[in-house]
Amino acid sequence: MAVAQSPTVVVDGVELTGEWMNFLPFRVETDPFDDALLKETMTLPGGESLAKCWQCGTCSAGCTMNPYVDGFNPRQFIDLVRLGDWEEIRAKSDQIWRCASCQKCTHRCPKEVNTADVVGAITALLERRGVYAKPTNAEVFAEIFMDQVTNHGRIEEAKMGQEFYLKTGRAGELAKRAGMGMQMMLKGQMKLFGGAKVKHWKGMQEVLKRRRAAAGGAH
Amino acid sequence: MAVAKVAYFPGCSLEGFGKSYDESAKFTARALGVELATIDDYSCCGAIEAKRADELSSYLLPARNLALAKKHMNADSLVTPCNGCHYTMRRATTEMKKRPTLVEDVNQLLGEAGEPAYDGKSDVRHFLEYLFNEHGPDAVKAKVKRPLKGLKVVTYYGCLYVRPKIYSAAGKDARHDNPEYPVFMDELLRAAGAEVVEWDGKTDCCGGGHALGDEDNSLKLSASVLEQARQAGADVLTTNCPLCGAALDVRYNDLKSRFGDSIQMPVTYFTQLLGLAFGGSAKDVGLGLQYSGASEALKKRGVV
Ligand code: SF4
Ligand code: SF4
Repeated sequence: MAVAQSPTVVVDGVELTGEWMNFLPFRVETDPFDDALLKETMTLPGGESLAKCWQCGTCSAGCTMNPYVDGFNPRQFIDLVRLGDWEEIRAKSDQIWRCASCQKCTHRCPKEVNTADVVGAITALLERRGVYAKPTNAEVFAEIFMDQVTNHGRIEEAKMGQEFYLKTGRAGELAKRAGMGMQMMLKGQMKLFGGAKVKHWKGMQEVLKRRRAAAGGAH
Repeated sequence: MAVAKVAYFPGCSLEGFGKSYDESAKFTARALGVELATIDDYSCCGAIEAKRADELSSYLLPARNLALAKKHMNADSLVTPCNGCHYTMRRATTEMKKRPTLVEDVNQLLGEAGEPAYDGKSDVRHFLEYLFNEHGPDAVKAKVKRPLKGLKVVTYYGCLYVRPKIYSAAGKDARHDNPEYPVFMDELLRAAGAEVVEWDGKTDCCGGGHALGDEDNSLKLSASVLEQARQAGADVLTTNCPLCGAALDVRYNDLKSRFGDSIQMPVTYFTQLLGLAFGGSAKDVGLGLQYSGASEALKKRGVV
């Protein structure tokens, strides 16, 4: 029997070949794939568990920031890293750092992915690859925080606020808020003379300084 | 009365914005015959920032405090009233138990810093969990002098008391709270006579972590918590977290000017309510340190 040669396959009046031909090229993304992205993210602190994700979407369904920040979607962030789609990740750089660290995603993940830490690792990746023109507010905050811990052993919340506004060039706002600072001092909630210091701390200070320097960068 | 001593880790916040939580926690504990003995020369737990800077430092900082509690007080566990410290330290102890080489690495650094070594065993408990397990509703009931009768309360647990369960062990057994709908505060306050109102916001995020970093969204998250509490018909919201307290209460004027009356909701710490029920004065529980009108609301209900 001769084999029928036809550029099209019609079953029950539906032409299939053309549909499939159109369909397949879009399904397979090969161009942007770059597994360096996945490898790099997994070596960053908190990124280790990324590969266990099975894309169920539980994390995004309950994510705190999802309703507040357009396009904030931890499941998708993971997918994009695995696809190696650097352009898309970069396009979401102003969303990703806004994770509130609420831990709902990690709490509920059925695969024991530490999703919140993975999102943190993706943020660190963006920072490392120099995507942010200036440090994100979260980065500035973390740096001030670790400076205080390294130098004094403890945090003074009110002082953190002051330094943050100064470092992010918002001194005007600080002045506006000085009213609140006064109120706090009167109520005795703000330490006046930097009392939040640990006595036996020199050794720890040296160790922390060394660790931070070795981890690279100021923070 | 025999006084039991507990190794107390207040964390940085209870020396700052959370001062009223600190005062009322100590008062409440004393009324139950417990002294919250602060760990001498304790230091910051590292919060969520340390792990950004350097992974090992995020274990080192908690380990120093655990080692001090063991050395000076022979304590196998320390108690903290702060959700943030609770998360950070439980994360550290869980990971160190899973990976014993971490303990070696941490002890190497502690040794270089001239600090005592961590035994890899001692652990951390939240003050609320401690109160519920070691004292519980019956002990509370027995100490009540002025029941919180007629006071409608919503209990607000925030994020890091139960989450994530891989660290908090929430839901593991009866000694740990429910991972999605915690109730330990509810039960203690009910024992003190309060009417605990059901609501959906119990473990919502207040946005406090990004109070400075992403202020706009952070304020929206806080407003959502207060709004839900108001819609539930509560007289006051009460919390077990100093970071939530700072976000909701210390920022109250900011929130009010931006969102108006829809967020009007006095914020308290659960230890303030328990302390009042145990016969404490407004001053004993630091009520004057709240910004959101807690004194007035409690007066209206005859609780102070
Ligand atoms: S919940 Fe866990 S497994 Fe599911 S998509 Fe999120 S990270 Fe992946
Ligand atoms: S920790 Fe971040 S990513 Fe996870 S649920 Fe909360 S906001 Fe979303």
